[in-house]
Order: sequence, then structure tokens, then C-alpha cells
Amino acid sequence: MTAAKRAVKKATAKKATAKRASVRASSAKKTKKASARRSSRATRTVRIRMYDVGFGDSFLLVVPGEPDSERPYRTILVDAGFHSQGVGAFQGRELAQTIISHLVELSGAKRIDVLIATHRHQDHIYAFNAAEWDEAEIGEVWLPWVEDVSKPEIRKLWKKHKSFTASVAAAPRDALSAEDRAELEFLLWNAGEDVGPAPADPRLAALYAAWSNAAALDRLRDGFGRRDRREPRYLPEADQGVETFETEALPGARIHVLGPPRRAELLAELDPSVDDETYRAFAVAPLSAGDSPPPPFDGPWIVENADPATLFGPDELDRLASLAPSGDSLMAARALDGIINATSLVLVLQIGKARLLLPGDAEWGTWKCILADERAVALLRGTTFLKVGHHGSHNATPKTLVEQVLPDDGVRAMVSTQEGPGTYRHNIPLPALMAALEARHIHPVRSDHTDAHLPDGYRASADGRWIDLELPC
Amino acid sequence: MRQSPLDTRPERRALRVYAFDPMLARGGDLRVTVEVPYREILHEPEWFGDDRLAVIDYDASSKRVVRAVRLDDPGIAMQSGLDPSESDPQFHQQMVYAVASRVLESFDRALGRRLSFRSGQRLRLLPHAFRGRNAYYDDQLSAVLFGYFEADRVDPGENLRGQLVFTCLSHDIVAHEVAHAALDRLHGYYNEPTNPEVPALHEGFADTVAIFLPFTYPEVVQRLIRQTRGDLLARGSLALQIGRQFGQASGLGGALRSVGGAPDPGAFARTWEPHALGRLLVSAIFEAFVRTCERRTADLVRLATGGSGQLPEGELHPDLVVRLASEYARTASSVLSMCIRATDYMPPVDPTFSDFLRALVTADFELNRADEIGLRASMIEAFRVRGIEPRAVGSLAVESLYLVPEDALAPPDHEIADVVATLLLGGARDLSRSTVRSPSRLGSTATKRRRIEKAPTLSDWVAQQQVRFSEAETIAEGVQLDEEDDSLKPIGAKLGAWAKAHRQLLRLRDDLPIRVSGFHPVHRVAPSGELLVEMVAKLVQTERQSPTEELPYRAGTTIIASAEGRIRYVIAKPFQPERAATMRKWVARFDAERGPSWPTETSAGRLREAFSARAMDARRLR
Repeated sequence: MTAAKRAVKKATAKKATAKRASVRASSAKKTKKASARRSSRATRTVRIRMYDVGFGDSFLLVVPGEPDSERPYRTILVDAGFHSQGVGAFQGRELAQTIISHLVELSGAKRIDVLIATHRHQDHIYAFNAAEWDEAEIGEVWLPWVEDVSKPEIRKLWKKHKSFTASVAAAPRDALSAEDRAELEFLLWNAGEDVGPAPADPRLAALYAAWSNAAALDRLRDGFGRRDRREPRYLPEADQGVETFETEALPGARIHVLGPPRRAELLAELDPSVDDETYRAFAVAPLSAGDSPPPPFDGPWIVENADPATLFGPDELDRLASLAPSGDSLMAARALDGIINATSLVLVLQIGKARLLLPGDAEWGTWKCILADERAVALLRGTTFLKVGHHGSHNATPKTLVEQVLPDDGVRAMVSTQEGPGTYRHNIPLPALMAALEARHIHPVRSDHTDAHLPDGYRASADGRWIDLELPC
Repeated sequence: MRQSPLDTRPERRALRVYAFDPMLARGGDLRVTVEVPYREILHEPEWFGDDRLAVIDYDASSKRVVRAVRLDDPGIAMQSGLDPSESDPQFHQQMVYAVASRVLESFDRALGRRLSFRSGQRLRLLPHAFRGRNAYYDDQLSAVLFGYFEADRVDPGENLRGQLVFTCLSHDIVAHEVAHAALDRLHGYYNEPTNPEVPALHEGFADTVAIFLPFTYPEVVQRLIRQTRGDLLARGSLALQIGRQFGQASGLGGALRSVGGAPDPGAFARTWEPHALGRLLVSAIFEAFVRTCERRTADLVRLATGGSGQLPEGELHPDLVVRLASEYARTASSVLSMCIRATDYMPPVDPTFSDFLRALVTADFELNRADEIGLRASMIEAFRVRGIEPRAVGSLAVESLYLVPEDALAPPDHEIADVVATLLLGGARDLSRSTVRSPSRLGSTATKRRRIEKAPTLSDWVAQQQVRFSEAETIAEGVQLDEEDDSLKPIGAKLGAWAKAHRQLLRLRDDLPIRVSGFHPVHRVAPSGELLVEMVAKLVQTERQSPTEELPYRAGTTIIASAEGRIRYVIAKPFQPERAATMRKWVARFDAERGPSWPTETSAGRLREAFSARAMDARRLR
């Protein structure tokens, strides 16, 4: 915390010089490409399209390519997922179909130059199950480095995750309250377990029965019709703080990878057994689903027709009942959720003078490293667009970031979000966070409020299924 | 001394238990018969209990009740209770009753009064409360809930794969939980994690009771001495291990934790995780115990070895074992009493290890000026080598560790003398009606159980994590009483009025109401034979605006007054800017670990959630 603050302070001092430098750089570019641009477009902009996917993320970015070439625009897709229990404007294959049609509309080709999957949660990648994607042509796929399953230790990690998640899913949950159970199932589904209610529509149910988290990951790793770069980029590629690179797929853009940290320790931290407390409860004694084991004593030991109400008051019986199931499974599911969010890519895309901060669902652990890194903080100070992390939850957008790092001059922001029941979704998006952003003149536009009055620069589609932002760059 | 042939009431009730746990007892050894003070037992099909313990074998997972054992059944009573067995649930009931009774007896003896639970309620023991790897004390139910679980299928240690493991059969777990309950009764504000040492004290204290209680069973001590040849700190010594069966059954490959190891003077300054801090406390106490024993038995060893003091190879002589064991047992019982008695000399809120150390030393000094066996000195040394020092005290010389007594020559305060006298009468009456008060239903015995609070906006899971703090204080002005026994209310009111008039002495603030959070008489016989009669009273104030929204900010003072009305000690924890700063730092540190949080409805309870008895024990047991 103090280290982070120190970094913030130092970076402030450097800010002025950094800014001057960047202004110089972009003005140089401007003059060079000024004539070319005029012919294709009045002003250079980045178009950011946020789809109302309900509880999930999907952003299509259209950025300037090489003017006067065949491809004046390049496209970036950041995540395409939704939650089966938090549906927005898209269901089943619709999201894939819509995005593909938009690719043609906006850039003239069924081509995604860069496809970014920030992390493996269903609400970020579920839609990659759709067969429609095979029609699309892909430049590159970017995934967090912990998805490089060619490495045995990473394969082992995910295998462990899978079996742990499965054991949590198999634990009896009938004793939990309806609300807690819903939350547990919500979290487990997001982690790739087939739990919770199926959609009422039988066709949709059949479709989802065939979809899976693993299949979506497989497609990201080596699916799609055509790929220029066979292997995904697993980011960051080295352990060096902020990693910056350029790619042919996005001419003129600089990509800064801020997270997840590429440290061997991260793998250890991602191991569910590090949280001994929750792990111990489930790592052992797998139980078949819903099958509560018989009570330990039976027959003559039991007082027949005993009335617990003579032993305890009604509120006491309630408390005993709520203590009995021990919220272990919910606790474990939350821990697992946090662990996977910790693998989330945190990127700053620098396109001309626009700097887009795309933090996925990164939580405090990742942010702690980022905020302690001077270069990262300096970069963040130049943010012009923020995708509010993790649907606006309480621990994905640190206080320091909002109050001390992000510029106070009207950063554009979007949040893909959907309120929902359960303690987990109850605070999504978190009012206190939204208020703090407002106080910094950041007014995030919400994916679930497409009919709201939108600030200048934003435009909702007529059917309210997406919102566009045009950002000068 | 029977008065008539009809008088057959025994003094003690003999009951068999596992001295450690069923896993260790499998060889047939390590089952002991303990004697608990005889209390009339009320038997119902669904529960049994005496005047302050009720064993209710209700399983909230299956919603069924196991028939309660009839300990007074002649067939059971004449064989010192049921035979220890894992498959006999009634034996489980017997074991929790016996061990809990022994724990409470230790408290009674050390405190010089009979510990009673709030409003004469019974502490409820649920030997099979739920399926799960945990056991904990729930203050809202005033119940200890023991879980049961299947042993690890991969690494069950010395247990069978998938075998059911009952936490209620581990002697140390039962003692630990009941000690939590007793400490909570003595200091209700210690459930507020206002600094990391508060939950650590709760844990360390409960572990101390759990470790030392078996030392009061001679056959256990003899066995330990035979095994370790008198070196209890030897590696692998049973005495040092807590939760053996639990740890092994959970696939840990060993006991939950062990208190041995070389002391590290930097440890205390470095440590802030409450469980680790708690272990530090226990290891200090245990080391002091061992050093004292060694000193105390050096002469015996010299006698047995012809003056060399070097024990020969092989088995110790059985006579020597018996003599050593009795010295160890006596020392253990002194240590246990010393630790329990210290609680009377602690401030009612926000305690630290330093407060505990000073209370320990002072309480012992009050009763035993000379420290002939050197236990006090050993304690101080063992704390010192771990870096636990009395804060705001100049040097480590024994004297400066003592709490400073009030002026012994000051004229006695008649009001206080009056309060103590009334209290003594009340206390005497209380002792005389110590048998079962109400044979009626359990629920109605408790006049006013504390209402169970539930935050309406939280989900069940969060609500159960967030054990509420003692009370929401909205007293307009003046004095509030925690005492619910009507006969004691006037005394409390008198005490409150006195406290109001003596805020300066008590280092309490003028602008805040005072809560009388507890008062009780104390009778102790000093080794000199002198009868000490005193009153301990606790007064608490709560700041309206806490420096952190997570924790209430309170000040509190414990006073100890003699029967003549002299204030002997004023142990104050006043409002101080440093305390507020420490609290803020503690919350910031907690947040830096977990991520500073934006305010939500539940974020204010995050410390409570992390350090509730349930969460603390869950972490301890996993």
C-alpha cells in the first residue's frame, strides 16, 4: 500500500515530462498522416462498442488501420461472454452472429485482427462456443500467460482447479438458503460447472448442453476458420513489470501489458489449496451430488418425534439451521472466483492519443502489483478510456486508482454490468464506486441502461442492444 | 461427614473419557476416569444437564435428537460412566459433559467464585451439531457446537479412510471451546477484534486451558513423563500437540499445531496473524511451566540419582515417575489457575498481550507474594524471550511488570464497602441455591436469552459470519447495566452511580454514559491462609464516533475493591489518541492484505467476519 503510494507520488513528478513526450510523438504522427486521413475520414477515432450481454463482457473496438490501404480499419474483440443466469440482450448464438455482422458493417470484412480473452470465466468467453466463429478470420488471439497449457505446471494447475471446482459443485447445497444457493450456482457456472437452472427454451437448453467452458477455451487456443498467427500470444511474455509490444495486426498501436504478473509464485497463488481454509473442506471426501450422507446415529439412539422447538427458541433453530450447512461451499466458490479473476489480463492499448485501460476482472492482488510499479502508474495516468473492471464490483477498481491515479479530466468509461440477487451480485455495480468515479468526472455508461440519457460521444443502438463510443485518437 | 443414613450425595462424580482422542486411545491406553464435582443432573429424553451445563444432542444437519444418556442410571453410574467408544453417541455426551465440567471447575477454583453464565443460563453443548470440520462456540446461542466429518480418503493419518471423526471426542477441542465460552462470559467485549492481539488472546487462552487440563489427570502425566523421561519439551511430545486426530484425519499428516520450538525474540514484533500470535502466547506459557517443573523436581532427580542429577538410560523408576507426575500436575494446576485468575486483572476492552502479562504477574503476586516455586519469574522470562514486553513500563524487572496498586492508606470508600457487602450476601445466596433451579423446560430456564440479531439485508451466509458485537449502544445518558438478574440490579445501579461520581479516578470521560458490564465477588485463600475477599467490577464507555467504521471504539476500566471499601487496583484502558491511531493502522493493515474496500453494507463487518469465533476456529481446525 505504501509502496503503491510512493510509486504514485513519484509518477506524478514524471507525469509532466511523460505527457510532453507523448504530445510530441502524437503531433509528429499527426502531420505525417494528416493528408491520408483526410481522404478516409474527417477525424481519427476509436469506436468502442459495448454489447448489452447482461452479466458478462463483450467489447468490439474499431481502430484506424493503414489509411488508403485495403484495410483502413482494424478490429479488436475483447471478450464475448454472458452468464446463463444473467442474460442481457443476447442469447445462444446471437452474440456471435451480431458481432460478425458488425465486423462486416464496420470494417468491411469478417475479420478480427486481435481477439482478446481476458480470462477464462464463462461470462467472458462463453459465446466463443458458437460455431459461427469459424466463419471469421482471426489475426491474433491474446490470452493470459496462465492459459499456456503447453506448460506442464499450468496443465496441472487447471486440472487441480477442475477437480476442486467439481467437488464444490458436488457438495450438497440443499441446506443453503435459496439466495445463497443461487449465488453459489452462479459462481460455479461461471467457473465452468454445469449447475443451476437450464433455460426454459428447450432449443436454447439443448444448445447450452453442448457448450462448455473447455470448448470455448479450445476454440480460443486453436479454433476459428483462419488465423494469421497460429499460436495465441500468452501475455505477458516475460517477468519485467509493464511489457510493451507492437504487432502487425494493429499498425501504429502500442500495447502495454500490466497484468497478470508473470511470476512463478502466481501459479502457486492460483492453486486452490493455498486457501487452506476453504480447500480442506472440499479437497477430500467427494460426495455425490445432492446425496446427503446418512446421519451418524440411527435406530434406538434417536428420540422419536422429538420436537426441537422444546429445546430451542424459533430464532435459535433458525440460527442453528443456518450454521449447520456451514457456508463452506459458498466460501470455496467465492475463493475460486477470485482466483480466476486474478488471472485476468490488464491491458493499456495506446492508439494515437487514446489510451484504453482494459482491466478485465482483475482484483486487488493484481492491482497491488500494478500500483506499486512506477511505469504502470505513469501509463495509467494517461488513461483516456476505462472499462470498469469486473462489472463494477467492490474489489476490482482500487480506491487508489480512482482517487489518485486516473486523470481528473473526463476519462470516458463504460461498465458492462447487470444487477442481480445474492451478496455477490447485490453490489454490482457498487454504488460507492460509481459515486467515487463521478467525483472524478468519470461517468461510466452502463450496458444495462441503454435507454438512459447518454453523455456526448456515446450513442445507443435503436434496439438498445449496444452502445457506441467514438473516442478521438 | 454424613448427617443421616439418607444422605448419599457424593462429592464427586466419576466419568470415563478419552484423555486425548480416540485415535491415540486405540491401543487401550489413554482413557481416564475423571472426577467432576457432583451436581444434581436433570434428565430428559432429549437432553440432560446440571445447573450450568446442558448437553443437547441435536443434529441440525439431520434435525434429529439423539437420546440423552442417564448418567444417574445405576448401571452407568456404578461403572464410572459409559465405556469410551466412538460408536456410542451417549458416551460422546458423557465426554463433553465431563470435560466441560472439569474446565468450569478450573475456572471456579481459580476465580474463587462459581462461574455462572448470563442470567443463570446453561451453556449448551451440542456434541453432534452439524456435519463439518469445525467446532466452535456461538455466543448468540450460548452453545458450543461440535461438528463431525469423514476422515480424509487420501491421507487419513492413523485413522481409517472415510471414518467419521467426532470433534467432541477430542479432549483438547472440547476444553478449548468451553474455555472460549468461559472467557466470553468473563469478558464479553473480547469478541471485538480491536487489535490482532484480542482474537489471539482468545485463541491462546483457550489453547492454554486445552493443554493444561489433561495435566490434572495423574495417569496421563505419569505416562507423559515415562514417555519423555521428564523432558516435556522434547520433539514429538504428546503434551505439545493440539488436535492430533483432527489434524491427521484432515490429511495434514500430523497434529493441528505444536507449541514447541526455540523462542525467537523478534517473533512478537513480526507476527500479526492472530493464530500465530496465539501460538506464541501458548508456547511462552508452556515453556514457563516446563522450566518451573524442572526447577521444582531437580531435588527429586538428584535424590533418585544419588546426587548426580543425571538420569540413567532406560525406564525411569516407577516411584520417581509418580513423584515427578505429582509435581508436574501441581505446577500445571498453578499455571492454569494463574492464567484464569489473570482475567480478573485485565481491562474490559481492547486487551493486549502486555495487559495479559501484567495481569498474570499481578494476580499471582496478590495471592502468592513469595513466588517460592519461581513460576512467576519463569513466566516473565518466557514472555521476554519471545519479545512480548509490558508496554509503557520502564524495565523488565519483575516489579515494573506489576500493575500499580492504589494508595493502601487512602480512607475506605463507604459506598464501595456497601456494594461489596451487598454483593457478598447475594453471592452467598447464589452459592446456596446451586442445585437445579428450574426443573421445567430448558427454554424457560433461561429468563432472557440474548436476542439473536440478524441483519435483514444480508444473506444467511453473511449474517452467520458476522456475529454481532455486544450491543448497539444508544444510551442517552447515565448508566446502563448488563446484569439481567433482578436481585443484582440494585447493586449494579449503585455501582454505576458511584462510577459516575468517580470518572476521574476511573479515567473515564465525562461526556459519555458508563456501562456496568459486570461485577462479582471474589473469595480466595492465599497460601498464607489469609482469606481475600474482593470485588471485581468492569465499567465501559463507548465513543459515539469511532475512528474506524469497522470497530467500536471503547474505553473501559476494571476495578478491584476490597471488602472494607478500598480500591485496590484501577486497571484502565482509557480513550487515547494512540489507541485510535493503532486501531486505524490495524484496519489499514488488514485491508492492505485483502484489498481496501469500497464501503458496502457488509464491508463494515469484514473484521468481525474474519475474526468471529466461528471463522477463527474454522481456520484453526483446517
